[in-house]
Amino acid sequence: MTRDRGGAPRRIATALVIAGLAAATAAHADAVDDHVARGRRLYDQGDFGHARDELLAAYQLEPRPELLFALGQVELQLGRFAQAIDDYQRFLATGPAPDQAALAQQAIGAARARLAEKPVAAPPPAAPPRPPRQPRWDDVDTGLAALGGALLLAGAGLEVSGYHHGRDHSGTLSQYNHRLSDAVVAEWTGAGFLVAGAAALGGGLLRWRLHLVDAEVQPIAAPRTAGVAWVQRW
Amino acid sequence: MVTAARALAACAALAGLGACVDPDYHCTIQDDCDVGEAARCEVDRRCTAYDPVCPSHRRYSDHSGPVSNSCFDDAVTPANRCAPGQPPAVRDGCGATVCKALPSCCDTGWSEACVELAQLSCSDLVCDTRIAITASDGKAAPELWSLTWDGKHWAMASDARKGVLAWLAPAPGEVEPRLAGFTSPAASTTMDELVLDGGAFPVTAASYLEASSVDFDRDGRPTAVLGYTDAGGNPRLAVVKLDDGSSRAISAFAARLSWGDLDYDAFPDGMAASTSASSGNYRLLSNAEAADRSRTIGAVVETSMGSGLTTGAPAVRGFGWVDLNRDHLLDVIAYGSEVNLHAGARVGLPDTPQVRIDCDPPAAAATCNGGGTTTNTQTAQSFAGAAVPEAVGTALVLATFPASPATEPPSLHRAEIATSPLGLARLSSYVFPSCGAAPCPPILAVVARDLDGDHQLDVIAIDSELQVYTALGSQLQLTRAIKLPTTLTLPVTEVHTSVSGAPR
Repeated sequence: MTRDRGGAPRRIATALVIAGLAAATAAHADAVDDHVARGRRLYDQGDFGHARDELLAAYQLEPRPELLFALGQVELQLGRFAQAIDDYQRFLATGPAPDQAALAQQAIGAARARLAEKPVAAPPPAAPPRPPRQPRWDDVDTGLAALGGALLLAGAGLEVSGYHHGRDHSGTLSQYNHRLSDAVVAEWTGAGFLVAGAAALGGGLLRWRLHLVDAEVQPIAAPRTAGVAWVQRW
Repeated sequence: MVTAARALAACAALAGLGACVDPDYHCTIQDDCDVGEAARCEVDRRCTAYDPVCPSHRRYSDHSGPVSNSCFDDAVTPANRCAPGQPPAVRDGCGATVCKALPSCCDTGWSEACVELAQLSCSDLVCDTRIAITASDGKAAPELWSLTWDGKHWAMASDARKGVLAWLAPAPGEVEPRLAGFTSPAASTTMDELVLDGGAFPVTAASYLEASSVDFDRDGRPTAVLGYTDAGGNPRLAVVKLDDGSSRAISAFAARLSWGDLDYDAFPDGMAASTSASSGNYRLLSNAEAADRSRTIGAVVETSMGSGLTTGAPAVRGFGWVDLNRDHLLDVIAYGSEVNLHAGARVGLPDTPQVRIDCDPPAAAATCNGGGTTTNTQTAQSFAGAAVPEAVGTALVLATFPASPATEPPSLHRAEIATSPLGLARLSSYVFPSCGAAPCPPILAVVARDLDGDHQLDVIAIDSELQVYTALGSQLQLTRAIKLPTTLTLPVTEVHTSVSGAPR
């Protein structure tokens, strides 16, 4: 935001000039007065552009010196410092009273100072923090986990089955031998399943941990602040 | 985060589950073991099959836990080393000492000779002495007595059973030997039940002559071998398993049954006499393998007492086992109308005794009996006796049964055994206590046991009036110990003893 470097004295002076113009117009011409009155009202409302138009219209009807000072003030408010300086100088050229000339000089100095200022480049907005890359659980991971779990279950079942078969001493020795052979096969197969299941499950987990993707970014509205936030989703 | 090492360890553990099957099959009945030749359910409830490579000819199946595929061995550490008829002993402590002198005690079975040697050489072994007596006068039914020496006193007890009274080995793991006898239905002369401490087993109705414990099958099961004559008068042996009552019969000589190992094949062999009291024939019953790989009595070697049977005395009184020639192998002695020494050989029992002893005082038969060169010729003697292992050497205690007991005094001799050549060496005579004007009754049975715990074998002698004498150590003075109040018509002609004991 641009700060008002003229301060309160200039606003008071402007108000007096416009008030004076208003009084003059009342005395000379209704049309000029109307323009000046509207210009004043618009100035008070901060609508400096239209206030300038009204003042120019009034000056064209009747080129009063005071209107030059008022125009300088309006141009100053509009940031048209070179035009403001021109208006003030034209006002000074009309030979105003010393106090008004001093005000005009002060206004010129202020306008020149503002004119000399280089426009300050606004720092580029800080880039929103890049969210950390997050592991992504996808269908392959789900498949691996499901396969691993199934193998683990099957392996555990075979192990339990083999365990019980191997400890079933009923029947004859030959029957036990057969049962034992089956139990050994079941247990080794079960062990294989368990290893494969653990590998599949571990692979799925490892794949999930190593499969990093950018976090999904969603704009969100905040009641007091505007900006962006990133949200992470599985 | 699961590290790779942890994952590998987990995988290894899982893979290890494949070896979690516990291959330890336990059988409950014989039919459970149906793998391998002549498979058998052993006393430890594991299956074995025939394998001639193993000393026991049995090898565990390959699913027998920690003993899988190892040779079956029924050796045990006997809870009671005072009782014969048990499986071979483990070579530890007293067992090692005994088996160093007599390996068959750890290779074949804990026999009578092992008990005597243990009493002699094991400083920590002191036994009571229990003698089962079957006394017969040749007319009435035999009288059965149980005689016990507890270290201080003799005790006797009459037994109401019939047939024969004998001490059987303790049940496996037990200490107390079991006194066994037979019973018969009322008004029957045949016996049909073997009754022993802890059980009764129906047996083939027959006339039973012997009851003995021996690990005949080398299976470690409590086994009794009974000698009997069947209804047709044929001698038979019944091998009875005392754990389940099963039995099988074998045709063989059945009288005076005694067990040792004469051919050193790790299976106990028997010595038995003809069931005919007048026959001097006796046989080595060689424990052999049947076609079905079970144990049976195989080829027999028959020999006999010399001529000159003594009237009123059986031609064969019994057998004894001892290492006569100090070759660490069992030899056998046959007592009867003469005393025959058979030195064991790995080929079995020679059909001709190495030494025949006859006469009174005893001498090599070749030098007496009228045809010899000595002056102690006396025909028609009959002998009872016992071998007495000593710290150095072996002695034979020989009792003579005179041809005319009423007029001729009996004698009891102690003869040291010369090992090379085998024969009698120094001969001594025991002194009987006074028997009054009449000659002392002849000695019918001799037993060698350590009565006083001094680790010397003492002599127990029983005469024809069932008077019990003792002589401690090498002392030659007989002392009356106890007299059994028999109701038999005296004199008794035959006293059958079965000896056992328990640590005291």
